[in-house]
Amino acid sequence: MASGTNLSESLNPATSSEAVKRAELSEIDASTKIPALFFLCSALGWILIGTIFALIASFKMHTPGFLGDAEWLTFGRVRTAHLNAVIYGWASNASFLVIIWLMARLSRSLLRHPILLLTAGVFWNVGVTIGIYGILTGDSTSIEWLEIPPYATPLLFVAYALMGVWAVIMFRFGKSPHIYVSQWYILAALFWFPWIYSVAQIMTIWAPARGTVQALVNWWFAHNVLGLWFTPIGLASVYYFLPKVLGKPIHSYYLSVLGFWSLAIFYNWAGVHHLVGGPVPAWVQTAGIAASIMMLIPVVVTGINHHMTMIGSFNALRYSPTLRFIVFGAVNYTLVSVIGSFMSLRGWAEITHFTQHTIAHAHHGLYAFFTMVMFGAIYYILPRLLLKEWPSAALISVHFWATAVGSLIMVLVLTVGGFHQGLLLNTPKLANTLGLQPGTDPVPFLEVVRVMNKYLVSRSLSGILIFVGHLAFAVNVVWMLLKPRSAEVTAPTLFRNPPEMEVVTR
Amino acid sequence: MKTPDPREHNTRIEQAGASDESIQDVHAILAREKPEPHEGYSPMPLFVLGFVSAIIFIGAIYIVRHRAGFDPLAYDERYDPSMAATNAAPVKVDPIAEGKKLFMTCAACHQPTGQGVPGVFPPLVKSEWVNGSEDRVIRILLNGLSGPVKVEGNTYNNAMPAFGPGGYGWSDEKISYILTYVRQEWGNTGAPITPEKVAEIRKAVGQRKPWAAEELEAIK
Amino acid sequence: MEWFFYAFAFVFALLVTASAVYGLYWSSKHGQLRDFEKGAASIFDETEPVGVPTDFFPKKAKKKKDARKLG
Repeated sequence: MASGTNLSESLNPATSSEAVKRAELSEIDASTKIPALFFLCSALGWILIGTIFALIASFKMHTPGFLGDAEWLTFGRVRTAHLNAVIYGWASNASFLVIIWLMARLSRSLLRHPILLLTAGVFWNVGVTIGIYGILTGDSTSIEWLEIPPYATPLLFVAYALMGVWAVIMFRFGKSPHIYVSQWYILAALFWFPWIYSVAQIMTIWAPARGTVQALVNWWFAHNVLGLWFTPIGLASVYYFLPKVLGKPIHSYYLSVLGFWSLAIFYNWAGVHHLVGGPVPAWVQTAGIAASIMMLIPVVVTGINHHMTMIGSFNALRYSPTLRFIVFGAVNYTLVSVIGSFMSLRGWAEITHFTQHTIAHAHHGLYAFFTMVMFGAIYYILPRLLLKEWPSAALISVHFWATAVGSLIMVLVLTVGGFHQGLLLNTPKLANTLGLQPGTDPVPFLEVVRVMNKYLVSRSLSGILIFVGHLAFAVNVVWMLLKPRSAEVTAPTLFRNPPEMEVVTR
Repeated sequence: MKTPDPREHNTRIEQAGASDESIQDVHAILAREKPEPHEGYSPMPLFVLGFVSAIIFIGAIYIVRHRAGFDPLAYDERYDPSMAATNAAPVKVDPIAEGKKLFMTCAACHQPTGQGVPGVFPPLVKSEWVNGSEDRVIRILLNGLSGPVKVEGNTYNNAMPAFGPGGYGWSDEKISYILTYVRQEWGNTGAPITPEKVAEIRKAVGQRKPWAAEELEAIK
Repeated sequence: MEWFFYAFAFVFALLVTASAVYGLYWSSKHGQLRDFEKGAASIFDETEPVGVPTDFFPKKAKKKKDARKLG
């Protein structure tokens, strides 16, 4: 191992005699172990905490007196804590895990000085913890997706900067001649997130812009967190794990490159669709809606790619936990994006804005797509880090079915509920449009609340199901961490084939 | 023997080569070899090309139709700046109908019937102030009235807010509409008031504290 | 003060766009957009070749118990 004489020398594999040859995959995996395990455990902790906050918030929507005496658990605080815990806690930590592991593998470079990455991860999680504590005690900035108080955000920025720099260094000194599409997505995400986060922080919190420009910046940011941070990480994972698990290269690499560049061009100006109908210039809204329509290009192209790769191998879903989650996520990516493109149209938005439909869409994207893909990634990565098999197939099945069914129920119930809510809220206008009795009175608001009750209760039940799935996952992970390593497993990729699994040829 | 200059076109060597079978065989083998295959830039699949073009077309049409002239003050996508320019002719407004709508504000105190509240708010019905001098009633609207005032034999001591500068900021048109309406409603006999007259008085008095009844009585 | 932010944001947006254009140019110059077959297969190698699936459910507990009984 190169001695730490010069940081840049120790980073560059060319100066180390051991790393002159292309590093073995197992060595690469082993080099990422410490920071990767840290991010995985943090992510796991955050998703449990985030789910508990979610359940409390969900119960309060139909049973407002639930935990009504606890000041910290007021709906405005606990729902915000849920949002930030799952985004900056679970989803971001899972993203960091995937970034490190995938970049190391794809660049064929060993991860050096893992302790520095670990430090960055600790800073990040300390920042998020302080932020959530701040939200619960009432210091929320009340700007959606940016609620973490200003005293915690610099920590996040420093942590992210460290991690971004590390990933770029791994890429720069990598020994792989070809830049696989997953690397494009990851590098782009690492470039985009600091940009949107710092601009949004500056223009809405540190030196707020005036008037509706704040709202525009807010929703440009919030939408781009989904589209330029989480979506690329999710897609990078699908593009890697789907072919890897099947042993089949991706159907059309050309389409994946086209998908990446069209996403880069179109995604970022779609954020305005959150403000359709608002006091924002009509042409800006139109630009956002047009961009949302254009997003159909990368989405359809990606969907075709994934589907054509899977064709003929759907029976593999029986044998691979990773594949189940990845395919579920990939299918929902296509679904949620197509629905999203239509949701931005003024006619649709008129009905669904400010209803539960938006919540359904948010969970469809962040949970049924991104979180499920991250679960799939973890099912692939953890055995290779620990050189152990997953202890319980039953728990994996419970995890998959509980979360898949739970999230689908939630999305369905809130979508229908959202439409119902929107139609009721729009009643006088709708009545006039449909040529009904002129001067129809609006539906009393309490009536709308009463109607929504059944949808919200169903959502809480689905949330409990999802929580059960998460518990199964947590038990499995902890069990795996604690169980002793089997003597016969020497390398991460040598797991036994079940006899039914024939070798797949192209 | 003269050594052949390689730069010269030496026909003797070529003739020798042409008749040597082994050389011909080697050349034939080499001539059959195709160049190494390498992948060129694969053309875009036709379906993808068609789909991308269709979506771009749809997006472009949408932008053109809903651009509202790229006007930063236009919030409605159906706004068409060229149409607004041609509709230069002002729409005909019925001052009495407009005034009736505006009266909702006044009805809070003067009541929907215009009768006022005895001892509190003076009536507008058959009021000598309403039907009398234009100059007085416009001033009341513009700057308000406070202190004791005698209306139809009864004294009222209250405060009427200003609807002009420093108050609700109503335009000359609005003040003229409300006054025209009130002056012909409930059997009132006052003449209509024009926006120009209101503008003239506004210019003369500007923003000031509410009038007292004595000051107004001094004005014809 | 506001004009400063807009100017900064505009300049940065230009830089972002320029880097995107440069990214495309760089990738075409360095052969990233040629030979897509090789690109797709680049994630496979000798230890994890094409044609071999690499992820399975762990062995069921029942099979383990049977193995222990026999062994």
